[in-house]
Amino acid sequence: MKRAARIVNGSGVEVRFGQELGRGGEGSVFAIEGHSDLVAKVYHKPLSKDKQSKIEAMVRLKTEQLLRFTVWPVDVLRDATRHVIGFVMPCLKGQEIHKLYGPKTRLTEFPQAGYSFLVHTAANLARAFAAVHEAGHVVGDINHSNFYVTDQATILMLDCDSFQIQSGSTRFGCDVGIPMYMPPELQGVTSFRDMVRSRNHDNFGLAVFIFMLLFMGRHPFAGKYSGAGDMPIERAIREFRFAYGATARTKQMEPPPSALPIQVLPANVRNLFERAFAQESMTRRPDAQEWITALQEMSATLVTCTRNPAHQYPSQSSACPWCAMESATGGLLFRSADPARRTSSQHGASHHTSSAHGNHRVAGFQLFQVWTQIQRVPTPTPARTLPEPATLASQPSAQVAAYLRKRKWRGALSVISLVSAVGIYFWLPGFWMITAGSFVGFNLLLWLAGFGRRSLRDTRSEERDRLREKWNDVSRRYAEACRSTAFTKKLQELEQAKQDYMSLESFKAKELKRLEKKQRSGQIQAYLRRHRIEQAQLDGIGPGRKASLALFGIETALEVDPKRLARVPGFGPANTRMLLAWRDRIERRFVFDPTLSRIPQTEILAVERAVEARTRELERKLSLGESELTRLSLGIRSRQETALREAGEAAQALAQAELDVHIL
Amino acid sequence: MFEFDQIPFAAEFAENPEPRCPCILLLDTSYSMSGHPIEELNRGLSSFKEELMTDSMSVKRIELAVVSFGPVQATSDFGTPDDFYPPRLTASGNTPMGAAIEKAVAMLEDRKNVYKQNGISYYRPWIFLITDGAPTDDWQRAAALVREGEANKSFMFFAVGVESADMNVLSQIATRTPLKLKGLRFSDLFSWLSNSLNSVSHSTPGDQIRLENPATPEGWALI
Repeated sequence: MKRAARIVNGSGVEVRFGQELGRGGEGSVFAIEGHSDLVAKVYHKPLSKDKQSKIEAMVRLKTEQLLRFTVWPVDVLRDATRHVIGFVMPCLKGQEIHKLYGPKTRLTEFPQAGYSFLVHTAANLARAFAAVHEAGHVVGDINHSNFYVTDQATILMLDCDSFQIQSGSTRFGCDVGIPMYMPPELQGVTSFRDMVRSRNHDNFGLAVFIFMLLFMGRHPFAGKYSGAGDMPIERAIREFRFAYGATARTKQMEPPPSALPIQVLPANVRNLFERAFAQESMTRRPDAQEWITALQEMSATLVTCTRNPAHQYPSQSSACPWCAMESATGGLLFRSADPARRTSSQHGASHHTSSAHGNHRVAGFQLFQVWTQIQRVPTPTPARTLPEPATLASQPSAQVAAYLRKRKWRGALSVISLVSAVGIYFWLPGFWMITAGSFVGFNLLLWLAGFGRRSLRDTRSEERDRLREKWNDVSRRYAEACRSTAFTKKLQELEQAKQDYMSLESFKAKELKRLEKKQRSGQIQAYLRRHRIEQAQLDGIGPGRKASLALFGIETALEVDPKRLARVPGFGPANTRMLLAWRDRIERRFVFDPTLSRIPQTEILAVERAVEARTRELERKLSLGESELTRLSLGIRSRQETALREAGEAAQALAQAELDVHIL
Repeated sequence: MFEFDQIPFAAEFAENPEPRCPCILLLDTSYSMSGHPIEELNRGLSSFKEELMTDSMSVKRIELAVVSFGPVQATSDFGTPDDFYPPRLTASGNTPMGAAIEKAVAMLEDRKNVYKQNGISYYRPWIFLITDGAPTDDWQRAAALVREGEANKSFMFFAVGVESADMNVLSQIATRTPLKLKGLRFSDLFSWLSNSLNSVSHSTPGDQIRLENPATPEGWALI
């Protein structure tokens, strides 16, 4: 839209507009011919007298300081009737602040921004507020579209014409505002007309935006509410229910799950948030200057996580909160460097970190060290061979030994009885009957006593059989204990994990390549589709043939393939060849243009998220590797020892039983 | 030091904790929609996604789900516009509108619970019904649910009738006056819906939004 009427600036010089750059509810923004660093805002509707004076006043009140942080009106625009219809302002640079504090958009719009960038932006936002406040004005309409962030973390405020402007004793009001970013005392206000906005009101909104920058886009008053019903943000603000506050619990609030724990922040920053959101201090919320100091200090304490160089956090935290949050949610908060680069440069990187930040402890993952530890776990080997019962030297059992002693005595007695019987026979020949009778009787008694041997042999051989079984059982268990399947399997798993970890980079590259290929095939298809058979000069394929091809859905080079052509009746091999050659000619001319169809950021991010999750998983697995292997190894060792002890005892007992049975 | 419980949907809300405005499209895919109407509806759906994508805040705050009937099925579950892939709807079967409304109300309840568990604030949800016929099932219970939901401000229910839709039954179900689509101007309807949702996504949860009247001479609707 170009305006026909002549438009002049404050000095009466004509201003010529270029193209329309943007269109909002209030007005449109145009380029200005001959001034690439300036733009013109022109209102859709005629302005009230008051608004016209406000813009004139703002142009008068412009300062260099204000222009550093805002796109302040630098000149008025008037129509032929001398009415103010708009103003000239500097060009806007950067992107809306919500694209930075929301991780989802940050990953694509500010891919390099780490936590340090966020803290810097927060400090710069405070500087911008300080500049406006120092000049005596109030921002008033604080919202997510009114602050722009450049890739240098600097802030530019826009829609300055809605600010509350103080010009001498005259005040021009601000009659808009978004409740979600407004202090409790302004909640429920139905009209801001004639309402005086204060810096203290601004300081609430400033704290909300600093909070969102530091807390990954979480609103300080959006938490888990344990009471009945809903807790919309503006009600929570009105009722001072700061979800991360010291007294949040008494107000039935708690931070959302997996949000940054506020304890991670330095105490002075935490205190500023408490003061900004608590009822007791609502008349003296921290001002921009206090925030600048605290955030600058915080900036200096940031350390880099050794596991993931994209993670920076306040040094007072004992571990990296981002690792924990990303791991708990599976989401991605910061764009990480290549995992492979982490492994190859780990020595240098860890050295750098420790020297830069003193002896601050960070649990970093170092593949080399972790792997050395894993390798140090001894492989369990069969410690000793089992004793062989047959080769063991053994003594008869006490029972058998006692029996043997008795048997010796029995033999001796029998011999004695024989000798004495013979003696008696010679000495007293007349009594041979008695002698023979008592000899036989005595030896019969001795023989009867021999039954004890047979029953003893029976019990001992039973015992031997039982011991043989026990021996078999124990030696089987020992063999099992020696088999270190679990250990070997775990070790193989870890080897695989190590391989995978080292090939993460090529995995990522492969995935990105696949995306590019997909993009390429999409482009080639579109290219082929642009070549219509209808318009092609092909010998022997006249309009009639072309029409029958079209009937079978073959209208462009894309659809030309042998299978499809075979289905077209009356389409011979010569024609088929010619058509295929035509398609080939076209396809050969195709040049892939990587700038034409960029791989969608969301797909690249999906790959990165997957790689990050895989990195974490492998790191966890490898880190636990040493202790798991040690546990397995020790288990095997102790089972071996137990079995070996039992086997020793069993072998001894068995050898004895075998001997006993043999003797008897 | 950090011990977080695993929770469903955590990644989605960790990466994007903006307040959500859930919107369910309840789309009639009964046999009578065959041909031109269903084609126009499909076309409208894809332009709907495109329009929502143009606003950087809407992309973060609006969540769409599609329930088609019949048979009643959740064709797409809740997701932000960048995650929403317009389904290709085909027309067949009858018009179980009552069951479809009940399903939508239940889906909204579930989604709200997910928001609450994750500490995510939300705007009053929208249910947007588009039909060209009359319910072939019992719709009395559904009508009661709609009345209750509107009274408790737990959602807003809009009904749009296409061609030969039974406007009389629609006005008994919806507490807001049902609108009659002019011709098959689905694109205009979705364009209006996307604008309305955009203005919601720039307000604060709980705000009263003044919607542009679609029943003007240039608008897409008749009353």
